[in-house]
Amino acid sequence: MSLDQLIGFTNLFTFWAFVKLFFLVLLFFYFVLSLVIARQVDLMNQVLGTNISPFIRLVVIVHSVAVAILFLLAFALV
Amino acid sequence: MPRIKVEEINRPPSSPAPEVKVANVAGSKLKFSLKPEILKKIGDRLSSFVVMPQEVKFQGEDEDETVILLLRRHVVTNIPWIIAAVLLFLAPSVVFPLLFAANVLPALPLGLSFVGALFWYMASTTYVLLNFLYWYFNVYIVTDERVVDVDWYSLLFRRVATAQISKIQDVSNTIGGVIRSVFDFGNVHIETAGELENIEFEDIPHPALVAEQIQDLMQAEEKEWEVNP
Repeated sequence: MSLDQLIGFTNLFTFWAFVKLFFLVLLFFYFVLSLVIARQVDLMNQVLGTNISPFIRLVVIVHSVAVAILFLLAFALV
Repeated sequence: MPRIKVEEINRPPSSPAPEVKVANVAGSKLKFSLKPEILKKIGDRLSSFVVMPQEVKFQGEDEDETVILLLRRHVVTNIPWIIAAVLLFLAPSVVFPLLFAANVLPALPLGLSFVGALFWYMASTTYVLLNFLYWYFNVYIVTDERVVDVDWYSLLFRRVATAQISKIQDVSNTIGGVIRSVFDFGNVHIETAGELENIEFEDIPHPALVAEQIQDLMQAEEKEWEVNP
């Protein structure tokens, strides 16, 4: 492997590491956002309770879990 | 103070004219009556115009308080974000072939393409969820005691405003524009006495009916006040 190839390989590695880091940070904030949504829905259910309030709560919890799984997938696959 | 009690509400799905009966307690006079036009508009739990909802509780509600109307923005107001959501979900099926044609996608690692696509669809789902929640929880409630305006502006900011029926001075309604006239939705402006904050019901269905119903409640409150100051 020539020096140029080595530098090219190193740059490529740094680039993909940066992409992975970017994705992980993005998905971390996305996960925080999903938790904020879940918390806010809890509060809104207290302000206005209807018969589908438990269902809405379930949906936002499933949403948070899905985002967490996506974060783990990004950690493993990207 | 005489109190009314909802005795029976029948809402068979096939019935075009739902039957709602209100009855007084111990022979006392009815505190309010529902307009016949409103009784014809009874909607289901996900409607933007729900008459006498039975399973709705709001913060600060009195035990003997009766929720008469639960209102949300007209369903038509959701169309812009629904169109945007459809475009978001369809975008990958248009963009991905273009990226393949430009030889960009094959250059990307498989994991990144997979997670990127999942992220796109998840973000689109979040967009739909948030818009639905904003619509669902931004409600206007009319009870026999007060009107309540629950606004959820953003994830971190919400506002709940109430006004007692006895403190309301004037009620007016506005319908402006072609779409609002066709679908019969608009604003109801509720002016309260003194320093109290005015309340605005925005883009609700049948604003004229709602305004009339609130005026009826104001008259009933005045009569009650004359009898029992």
